[in-house]
Amino acid sequence: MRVAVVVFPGSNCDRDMHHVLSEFGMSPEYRWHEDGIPGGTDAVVLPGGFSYADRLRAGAIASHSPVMDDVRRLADDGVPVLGVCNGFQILAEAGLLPGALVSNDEPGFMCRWTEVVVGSTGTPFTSRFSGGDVLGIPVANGEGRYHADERTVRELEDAGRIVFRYAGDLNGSAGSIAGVCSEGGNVVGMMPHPERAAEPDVCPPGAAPMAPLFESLRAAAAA
Amino acid sequence: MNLEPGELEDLRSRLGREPSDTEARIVAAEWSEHCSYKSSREHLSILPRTGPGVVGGPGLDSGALDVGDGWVVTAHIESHNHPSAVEPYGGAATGVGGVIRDILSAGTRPIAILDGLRFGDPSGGHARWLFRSAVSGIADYGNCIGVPTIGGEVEFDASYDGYALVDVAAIGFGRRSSLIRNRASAGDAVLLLGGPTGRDGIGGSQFASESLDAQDRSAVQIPDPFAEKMLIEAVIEARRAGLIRAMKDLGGGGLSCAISETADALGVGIEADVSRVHLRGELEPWEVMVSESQERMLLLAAPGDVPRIESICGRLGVACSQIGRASDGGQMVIRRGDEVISDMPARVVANAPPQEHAASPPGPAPDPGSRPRADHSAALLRMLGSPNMSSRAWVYGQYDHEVGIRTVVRPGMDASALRLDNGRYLAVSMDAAPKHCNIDPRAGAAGCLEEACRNVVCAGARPAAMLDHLQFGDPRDGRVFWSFKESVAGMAWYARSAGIPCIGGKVSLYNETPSGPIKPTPVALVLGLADRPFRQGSAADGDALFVIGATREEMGGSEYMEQVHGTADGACPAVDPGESAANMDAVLALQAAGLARAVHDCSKGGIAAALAELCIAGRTGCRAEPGSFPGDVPEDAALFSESHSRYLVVCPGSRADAAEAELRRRGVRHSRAGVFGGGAIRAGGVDLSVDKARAAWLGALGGLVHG
Amino acid sequence: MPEFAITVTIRNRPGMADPEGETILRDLVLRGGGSGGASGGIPGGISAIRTAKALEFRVSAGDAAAAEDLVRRVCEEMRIYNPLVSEAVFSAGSN
Repeated sequence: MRVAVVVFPGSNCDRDMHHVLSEFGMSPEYRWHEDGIPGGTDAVVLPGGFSYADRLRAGAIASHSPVMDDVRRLADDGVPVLGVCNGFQILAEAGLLPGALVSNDEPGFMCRWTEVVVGSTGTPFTSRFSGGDVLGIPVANGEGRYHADERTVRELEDAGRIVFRYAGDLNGSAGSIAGVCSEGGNVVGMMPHPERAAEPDVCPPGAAPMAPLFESLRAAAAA
Repeated sequence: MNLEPGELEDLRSRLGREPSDTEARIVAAEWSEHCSYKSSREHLSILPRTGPGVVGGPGLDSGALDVGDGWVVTAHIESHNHPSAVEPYGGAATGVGGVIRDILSAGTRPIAILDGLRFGDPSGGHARWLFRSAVSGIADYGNCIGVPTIGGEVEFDASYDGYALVDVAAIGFGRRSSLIRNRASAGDAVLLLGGPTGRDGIGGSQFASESLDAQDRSAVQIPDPFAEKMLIEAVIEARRAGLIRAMKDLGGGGLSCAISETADALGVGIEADVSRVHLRGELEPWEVMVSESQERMLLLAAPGDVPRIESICGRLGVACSQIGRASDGGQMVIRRGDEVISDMPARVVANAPPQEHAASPPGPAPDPGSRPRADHSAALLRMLGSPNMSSRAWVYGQYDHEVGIRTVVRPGMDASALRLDNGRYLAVSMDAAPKHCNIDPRAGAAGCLEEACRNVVCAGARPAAMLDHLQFGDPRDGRVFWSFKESVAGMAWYARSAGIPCIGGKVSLYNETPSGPIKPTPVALVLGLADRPFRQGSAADGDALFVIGATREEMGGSEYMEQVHGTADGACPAVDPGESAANMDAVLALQAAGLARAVHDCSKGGIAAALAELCIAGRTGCRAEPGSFPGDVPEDAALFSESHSRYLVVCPGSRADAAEAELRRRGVRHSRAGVFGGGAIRAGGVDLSVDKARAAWLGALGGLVHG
Repeated sequence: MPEFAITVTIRNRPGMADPEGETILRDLVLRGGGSGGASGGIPGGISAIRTAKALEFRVSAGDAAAAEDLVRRVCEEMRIYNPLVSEAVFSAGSN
């Protein structure tokens, strides 16, 4: 399974994502943001980091990168697209996902493990979870508060497009939203870092809570 | 920023002529204390530089540690004190950037940052501003470049009033075969990569070599972590493609230092043209040579490889100028276009005449007298909620300590640990003990090195290498210089006795506050290796408490004496190397045998504070008997003395007999001193609710900033 | 007493680097929006962007000058900006 890991200037979780995708038996390939995404790509991941150092707004400059034309086209074609942290911010800035990511209600960078509740399992990244599962996962961001108007949040809820919610109020996110998906379900954005919670060695003892996300993706390609 | 009169004389005689104004400025930058180590270099030779695993050899700037299977770990430590004292955000941030480029220079990828921060009395608004701003600067820079900040220290002491110590250490990782073995031959291209050279940061290294009242306020640097991140990627890509023959980061002394030291070390000359340097704004030629603008690297490459380096830089948006070439003969020639503005032997520029200072020991220490009785519960509560001993979560919660997915033991423990690509683990700890060093710099320096070793042992690792960072006031003060020499002696003594090689270090002098020199602040960074890390569990009801190591009447410079009795006088802790080694072995053995649930080092606040922290982490109480702790001392010393080589070990009740047998077999001083359970920490006169202790301990640092 | 809105604009002193402004210029504006942007082509004539932080203080004072003086003093005492790095421009508008 070929997964494009898009590298923007300032991406810094690209190698982490590459490592975990490999660990789960997939074939990740780095794609520089000025180069296109080749045909035959089975999935696209926009990793975390600080594209353009978050200048102007997190994700604002990268959302104009040449590669985003290909990402948009593949998303329209139903190819699985995952944006994590800065990747989610870029997808939101590019209009591929609804809402915006703004400064946490307690300003400043926040790095800690938290818990999310699994919402929709109808995406290529969540089929191996059970809805309602409460799982540990780390967050690391300064602009991670999900913002959308009430109507949008309600629509997302009604359409089953909330993929992960924080188990408590972490940062003031509307609807405690940690991750959402596109109408078709194939584009998922999430602020917490699943690649940091996929191997037992780096997780609090005895678990790799986000392993199912990568197993889901592998299964989606096999299907 | 000028040469001292004697130095100008020396330069004249070595050149055999009068230096031009530009030449004098170039030499002044390089002969600053910060760049040249003219006061300290000869005294550092007593540190052990070789040992198992140390990778040395020609062309290696700093030491590297072989961790097996063809992999190496590199480490570097330095400070950015003077810039941080006037612009803490930018000073701390660019301090991170500088040390990261040292790791890059070795050809390795940075994988972790630690930072040691020291400020004045936190009841002052200025100290709190420095603290808050320095933490923001480190967070914004380290987070952006994607290198996790996994540990460090925060300490407040009135001896830093109006000043700041910002020490940053970085760890690198890579293939042994990828280490840059710096070499050069005539004709090699000299390239300057990275941010433009500007007027910011002019005179910085001199600034770092003079006390604050003589500061040159233009030495403020604007951090650009984005430029650093792209520079990291460009250099690593060029290194991977085998395009780099030699490399040096630009730090203190700017191009003057980088060019002269590179040419001198590699035995070549370098000719460079300042008009080819990419600039921000208009600069005089001498300004180009001494500017300390950040995020720059000097590379030497074969002429035929230059287009490939330019293409890598172009793609990543990193500016790259070919500013000159290497030559035969060892001459450092600087031109502006066709005009030669400086022409001196690199050997002369790069080797400042050593500076001698007198060392004068202080008079006898005052007798501390007898200690009045104190309420030990109140004392413990007060200490746990004090800025020096409370939880550091407010600080490390702002740092991305997980990026890179290597972090196995997270900040908040005695040491943090990272996984390496060969299945082994690296534990790291950074420690200093200025209050001890102020009483006895030799014992204090040895002690902070041992403390760093203890901390990596708590993470299940065996100490494998150390780095030192030596920070003192004005060396022309005999007391200051004496404390410097004593500190080096103390570190060297313990490092030799424990068989731990020193793979790097740094010296920072002229750390003077408006009211005098800082307390002697040597910092130790220790790297430990483990085949598997020890994963700390939490103390649970029914678990047994073991105390390993003897407590002595060593209350001088302790948090207890300072916070409760308002005095720092008395004997400070001293290390017994035999006991130190035996206790480390015993702890590692208990961990490996699965007999320990948690292990905690005893340092600031003594056994009482360490026990409280175990109870807070486990949300359980403990009933301990101070009279049983090894060592024959009064109860307050048993609870609060900061004697070295001691550990608290939590054992599941069912394994306590086996642990006891193992400790007895090894013959280490120990006692089975208590049982966990209940809601209070009870030890002699201490009876303190865990919830109360927890609230005080958790909230203090954030409360300091947010009021 | 009347209320005034005092705007404090804080930006790096002339000659100091402004990495954020440089990035917005180089990587966004001069690229003409790259992908998906509404704009077509590179806008001509733009040679520099400087960033700044703006703070609006609402202040009750006898007159605008007094309001501005108060804000200026607060900004200096509280180290709202570090004069070694930044300059602040104060402008008053009455409501």
